[in-house]
Parts: sequence; C-alpha cells; structure tokens
Amino acid sequence: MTWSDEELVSRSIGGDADSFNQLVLRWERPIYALAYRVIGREEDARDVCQETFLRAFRALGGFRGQAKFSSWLYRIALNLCRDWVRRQRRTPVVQMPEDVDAMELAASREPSEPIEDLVARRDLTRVVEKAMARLPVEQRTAIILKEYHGLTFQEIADMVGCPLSTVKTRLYQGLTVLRRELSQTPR
Amino acid sequence: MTETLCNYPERDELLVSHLYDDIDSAERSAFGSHLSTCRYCQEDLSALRAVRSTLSTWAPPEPAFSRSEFRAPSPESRAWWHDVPVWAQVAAALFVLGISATIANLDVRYDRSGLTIRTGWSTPQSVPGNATPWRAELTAFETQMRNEYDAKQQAALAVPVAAPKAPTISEEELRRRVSVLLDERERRFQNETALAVANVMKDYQRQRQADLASIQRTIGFVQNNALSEQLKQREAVNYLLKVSQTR
Repeated sequence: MTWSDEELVSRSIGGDADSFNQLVLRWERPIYALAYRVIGREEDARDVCQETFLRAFRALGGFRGQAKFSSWLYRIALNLCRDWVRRQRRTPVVQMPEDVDAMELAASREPSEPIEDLVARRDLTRVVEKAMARLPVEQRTAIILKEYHGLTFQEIADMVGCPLSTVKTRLYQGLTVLRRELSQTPR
Repeated sequence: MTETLCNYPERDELLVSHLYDDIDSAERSAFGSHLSTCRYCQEDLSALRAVRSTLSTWAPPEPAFSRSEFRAPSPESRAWWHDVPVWAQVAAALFVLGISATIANLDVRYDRSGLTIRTGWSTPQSVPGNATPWRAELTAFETQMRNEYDAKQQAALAVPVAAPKAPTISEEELRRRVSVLLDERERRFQNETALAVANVMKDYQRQRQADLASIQRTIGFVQNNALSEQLKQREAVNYLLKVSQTR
C-alpha cells in the first residue's frame, strides 16, 4: 500500500522510523536536484539534501500540515541553500571541467545514443548551467521551482515569502536574461 | 532581446503566466485575444518557449546516495531505561540489592576479631576450647590424601601397560582405500584446472570486449572531432569567400 506524504508524516511522528525513511526515499532526488540547481555543486548539494532531511526529522513534531509536506521540505532546503550562498559570499559557479574527458563521456552515454548527440547534449547542459549561474539567486530560484519542480506561482510566493506578482516578475526577468545569454553563447 | 513595445497592463506577468499555463480563465481569455493581435508579445512568448525548451535539457548529475547517508534516529534505538527517572532507577537498584542480601543471608559483623562477612544458611558450628580446630582436621585430610595417592601410584607401576590394539586392515583393503583417495584427488585437480581455465577465458573475453568498446568510443570521438574541425574550416572558407566578395 502506498501511503501519502501526510500519512507517512503522522506515522513518523508516532515513532515509525521506517515511514520517515520512505519519505526520504521519495523526496531525496527532488531535493537534491533543487539544491544542485541552486548552488551548483554536487557535494554541497548532497550535504544540503542530507541536512534538509535531518532538520525535517527534528522538526517533524512541529509540522501541522497547513502546507504540503513537499512545500515544507522545499522551504527547509531553500533556506539551507540561501545560507550556503551567504556563507560562500560568491556567485555559485557550476563545476564543469573545461575539457570534457571523451572516454568518460562515452562511458556515460545511453547505449542507443550516438556520441555526437551526447557531446551536443553535454555542451547544451554546460551552456544552460553557466547561464543559470549568472542569474541572481532570487530569479534562479523562481525559475528552478517553476520549471523543474512544477510549483504554482502561489506556492513559490508562499515558499520564498514574497508577493505573487514579484514571483512572476522574477521569472520573466530571469527568462529574458537567459534568452539573451543563450542566444549569445556559441554552441 | 526583443524590445517591449507593448503597453498591455501587467504584460510581463501575464505573459509568464500564459507561458506556464498558470493563469485563471478570465485572464487567459483576455490576454489570449491580445496575443492574437500583438506581434511583440507573440515574438516574446515564442522566444521564451524556446528558452524553456533549452532549459529542459539541464539535468543534474546522478546523485551518489548511499543508504547509510541518512539514518532517521529510531525511537527503538534508545534503551528503554533511558525513559525511567533516575530516582526510580536508584530505588530499583536498592530493592534488588536488598532482595539479594536476604536470599544470600548476608551476615556482616564487626567485633574485636575484626570485620566478619558471612553468607549462606548453614549455622556455624561452635567448637569448644581449640581456637583453630580446623588445622588438625586439615592435616589429617592431607595425610590421607597422600597415602591414597602413593597406593595408586604403586598399583599402576605393578600392572604393565597394554599397548593400544591397532585395527587390522588387510593389504587389499589398504590398496583399495589408497586408490580411492588418489582418484578423488585427481578428480578434484581436474575440476580445479577446468575452473581456472574457464576463469581465464572469461577474463580474456571480458577484457577483449572492453578493449573493443574502448576502441569504438575513441574512434567515434575522433570522428566527431574531425567532423567538428571540418565544419569550422568550412565556416572559415565561407567567411573568407563572403569577405572577398564584399570587397
């Protein structure tokens, strides 16, 4: 039987550790993806992901279910990302080697994917990562939450604590900057 | 970047709402009819759709989660007695100590002969007069033990020790057993050799396949590089031709 997030939460509060582990399994990838896209470093994203679940576990008793569990979790993760960015005091830079190792690249490709397509896909990913890294963190966060996590504008506004119109403006501005960056970058 | 030459109220917000289809029906309808007539908004929307399409290619690297990374501290991992108050634990310990002392009939005395601790239910026998009555008994017991030991030693020397009788096996039986052992050993050796050969063959095949795959990948990459170089050269030639034609 598949339990909903809220059911798993209430079982976890009741002392069922396995239920919380199920929540971790369900949400660790989205949380990691969010952290990676915001801060741009794989190891730090993993740390943020782990810390998110630890904090969630400790604060589980305080979760009253006014918001969705996922929104609550995203908020914790975003706060941790924000702390990370503040600590680093620099624009996050996505780690990407200048010269891509062809062998490593080829080893990671899908069996049916021609190597030319793989190189093109990797190049495009690099271009997107670099362009995203140049955006202010507010715009980047809004784009990530909307584009990759499918949150509504209202959910994003509640999560980051700003008016609905601000979220939309940030998205528009961010996408417009990306449009310019992506058109200028040679692919 | 397209210059915004459209003055539709809250145009940017509505455009982004329309882009993500996160817009209520009234606004969708109104903005939809504007879109059908506004060239700037159409271009902008189309360009932002292209950006979204490009963004969809960005996937984070596969996380290397190990199951040991997160361990929810389970309530069972806490020993049950952590939940019992300290005063109750002390009281329980004293109670157990008291019960044990009662069962063991602990008798603690302190008098002129010093501290005496005695356990057990047997009552001490009173020995009149002699202060150390056990010493004479102990000496007598020792003498008795020595005598018994000496007597047993002498008896053992008197009886010759019989050598253990070896089981008798016929020569035919012995040959048969040796032959069986040799056969078994040979069979085991053959099995081990076959296994080793199979392993070597398997390793060889695996290595061969890996080498072939590696060569194939390298060739693909080289071809890709060559193709890319060729394209660059073609672009350069085209550029030169274009420049030469314009002058």
